[in-house]
Amino acid sequence: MELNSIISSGLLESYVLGTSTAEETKQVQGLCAKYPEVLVEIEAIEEALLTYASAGNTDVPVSVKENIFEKINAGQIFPEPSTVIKKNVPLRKLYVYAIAASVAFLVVSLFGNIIQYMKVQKTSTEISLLNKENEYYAEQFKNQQTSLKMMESNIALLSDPATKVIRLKNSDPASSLGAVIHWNSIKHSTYISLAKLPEPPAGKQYQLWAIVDGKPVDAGVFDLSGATGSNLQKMKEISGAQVFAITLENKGGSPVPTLSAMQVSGSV
Amino acid sequence: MLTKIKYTEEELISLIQGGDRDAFEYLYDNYSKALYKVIYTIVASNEETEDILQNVYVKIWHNFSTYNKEKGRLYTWMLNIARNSAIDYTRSKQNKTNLQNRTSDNIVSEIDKRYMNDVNYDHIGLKNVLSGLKKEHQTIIDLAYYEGYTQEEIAQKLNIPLGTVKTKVRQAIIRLREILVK
Repeated sequence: MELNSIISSGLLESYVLGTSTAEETKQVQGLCAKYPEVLVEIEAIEEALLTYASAGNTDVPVSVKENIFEKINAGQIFPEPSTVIKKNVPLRKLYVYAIAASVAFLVVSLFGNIIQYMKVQKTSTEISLLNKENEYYAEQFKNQQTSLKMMESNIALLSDPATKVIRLKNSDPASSLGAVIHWNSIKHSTYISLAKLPEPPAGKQYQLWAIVDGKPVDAGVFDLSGATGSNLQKMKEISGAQVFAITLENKGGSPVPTLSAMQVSGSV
Repeated sequence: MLTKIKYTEEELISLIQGGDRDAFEYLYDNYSKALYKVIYTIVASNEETEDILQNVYVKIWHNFSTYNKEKGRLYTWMLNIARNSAIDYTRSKQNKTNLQNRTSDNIVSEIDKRYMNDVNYDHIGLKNVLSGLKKEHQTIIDLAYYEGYTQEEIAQKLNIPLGTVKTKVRQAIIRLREILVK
């Protein structure tokens, strides 16, 4: 009873055609083992289908057969897997592979991330160090530029024919005290480059004077640190000077020179 | 029409698994024409069909150890290899010659068209067999046979009840058997 309804259901046809589900295939296999008639039926269906497709006058060229046997005899292996084989790999196995692959990938990726993170940390420290270094050198460069400009302007001043060098000396010829003044008679600019004078007492400061038409004119106060001979310290502009002199005055300078406190002097 | 059967399926399987060239030749002689038809229906070119058929048989030989009779008939297994190879081929070579821009759906509809007008019958020389088979039976059989359509898919495609498809597949094959016995 079961048999007749199965046979007439079209299941065997779809089994032979390869369109039955896995479950149906299993069912047919079971029936085959149980009833020999089922196998006979299946063989008849198969033969009908085979004859149906083979029928006709188109012959497959002999070269096809020759090529096949040539390849087989050459033992040629074809790595390309057939689609049928792919289908036979159980899905669960594929999942296991997929999960294993994912986990492995995750682990590798985590390690990669940690290494990358450490690298980034190291790099950013390096960058901030380099930035600081860069700032330092930029500052240095700026300073050099400034001092170079100053040197250039000093040279220009010193090489100007209108600039006169006046050496100031103490009235006592045995004294080693002295000073050097650079004065430009046209531009009226006045500089002190060297002052060999004793350190002034607290509350006191040296002041430069110019004698113009017999009268003392204030040329400004200065610090010894700015007159060591290595650069020029700018003083007030003076026109028509005949003599330069330095006195020791109270800090901030005096409107009139204290002649008793004159240290050095020199004529233009 | 058919070579006299010399081997049972069981014998054939165990011989080929043992590397028997004669048994394999038998497999070629008996099934190559049918597989040719299956591939030709899908790729629609003699030259390409020959190439694919050649690869299919080499594949069958090299992968024979993977054939599992628990999963179906030997012929059904070979049928699947042929179908899949042909379908894979048309998909990978879609931009080649007259198959340009075809999707697998287009290929199927192309095949359908061939059933609608009798153009190709002479070419494949099935007149004798087909004259005895109703066109609707033939369409259903061919969809399942050459395209690997399941009965559900055929029902959906032709818009007829599943029960009707099952009956018609059966009727068609019974009719075929009657014709072939004559």
